[in-house]
Amino acid sequence: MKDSFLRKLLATSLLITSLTYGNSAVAHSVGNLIDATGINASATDVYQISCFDDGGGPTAYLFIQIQDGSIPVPGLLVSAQAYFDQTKIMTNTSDPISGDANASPGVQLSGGNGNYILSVSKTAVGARQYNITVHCWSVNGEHTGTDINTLQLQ
Amino acid sequence: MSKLNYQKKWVQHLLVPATLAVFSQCSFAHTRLESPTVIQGVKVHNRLNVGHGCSIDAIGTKGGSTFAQSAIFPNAVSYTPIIGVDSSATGSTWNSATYTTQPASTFYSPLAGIGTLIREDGAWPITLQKTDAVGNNDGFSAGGKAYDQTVSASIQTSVATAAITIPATSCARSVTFMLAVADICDITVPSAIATDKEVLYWSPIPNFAGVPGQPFGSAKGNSTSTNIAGGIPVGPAYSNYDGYTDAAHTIAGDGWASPATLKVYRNITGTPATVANGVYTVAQPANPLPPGCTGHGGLGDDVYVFPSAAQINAEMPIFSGVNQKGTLYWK
Repeated sequence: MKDSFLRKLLATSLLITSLTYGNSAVAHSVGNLIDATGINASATDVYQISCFDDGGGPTAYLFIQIQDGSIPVPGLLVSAQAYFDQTKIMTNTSDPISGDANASPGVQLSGGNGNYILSVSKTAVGARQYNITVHCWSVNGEHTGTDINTLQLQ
Repeated sequence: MSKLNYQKKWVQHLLVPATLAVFSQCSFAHTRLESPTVIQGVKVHNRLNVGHGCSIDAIGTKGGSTFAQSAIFPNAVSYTPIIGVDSSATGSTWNSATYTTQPASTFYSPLAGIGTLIREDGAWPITLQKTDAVGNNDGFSAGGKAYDQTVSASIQTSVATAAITIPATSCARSVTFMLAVADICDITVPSAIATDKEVLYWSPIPNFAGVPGQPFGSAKGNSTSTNIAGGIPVGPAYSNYDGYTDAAHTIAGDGWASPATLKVYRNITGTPATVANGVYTVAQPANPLPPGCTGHGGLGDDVYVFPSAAQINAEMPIFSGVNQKGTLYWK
């Protein structure tokens, strides 16, 4: 049975593993299909972004920018909000045109090193595939350490 | 020869059992993180070291070949960890902590991803991530090679331990994360009947005041065990992976209540940038305690975070995929 285990492990390791979630969280971006059932106008996704000094200097601010990758639906827009609890500051950005090729304006939140809460919301019912660009930046414009954890997907 | 055939032949060669000679051992290191104490705000390239192999006889002589490892870090997003706060006047140990229902975010963040597998050219042929249902890294499984542990040697798996933030409003001077680890010598034996000869568990057992259901223990207890103050009591199991020396699971195993830990210190005074041997270490800002902290005579509280039994039970098994999906290799 041990040999069988190893054979299975080796076979599995040679396959390309497909994602089992609708979301993806790779370095410096997060994405998900929010409101997949298309019936929840209040669907909200929430992430925790850790910004830290990984050798390039301390974080000065978090940068976010959201893009709606679904087909256009009039009146259905996506927004992203970032909140830094240590200094109680918050910002927001919205993709102004549903399903076009352009992202929202980029916004930044000057919290420094620490953990930010990133939330995603929309204006009406309907599934939206979004992608958010996330960067922790130093005062010199260098990327600083960025880790992303998922708190809630709806 | 194709890569797959080469791997198969290599692995089959390794499976041929070696003739074991028993040597007397003077000392054994437990399974522990290579850097068990870190400062807040710093991501560390850490390593989890298997210290020695499994038991090979009834008296617990170590030397059994280690074949795989399963390890998890506490997750406070999809589970509710058991958290204890120690504010005692002198010393500090999780035994003297008191259970708190305050959320984990009171004491630290991020709430998940405390330990993330680093894939590199390491000791194990196979490394697998463990995640929760929303994709947060919780730990890893690794294995596929039977390392002769007749004479103990460390077997390492690289793990990135997260840059932990201790909130400025918290009175915590340290936060210690308790890992749940299984060092597996015989993966064909299910955990339900595994003894220390097949699986060595380094299990976190939250036996401190106020924890619902404590004291956890074993059917026969062990009053002489030094793993926990006062010995191992007679009591219920904490999780399905506490570890036992006998197949009937009545006698607690060697690693019961002896978990690997990651202790994160609050940077109360700040740290200047330094250069040593050509390596630049960045400056870290001060994070002083807020007014009114009384723990340890005003020095702050020590916080201990145990993975919940639900997380341990769900995530210790070894699956081929993340989120406990795919082929089940061991449970």
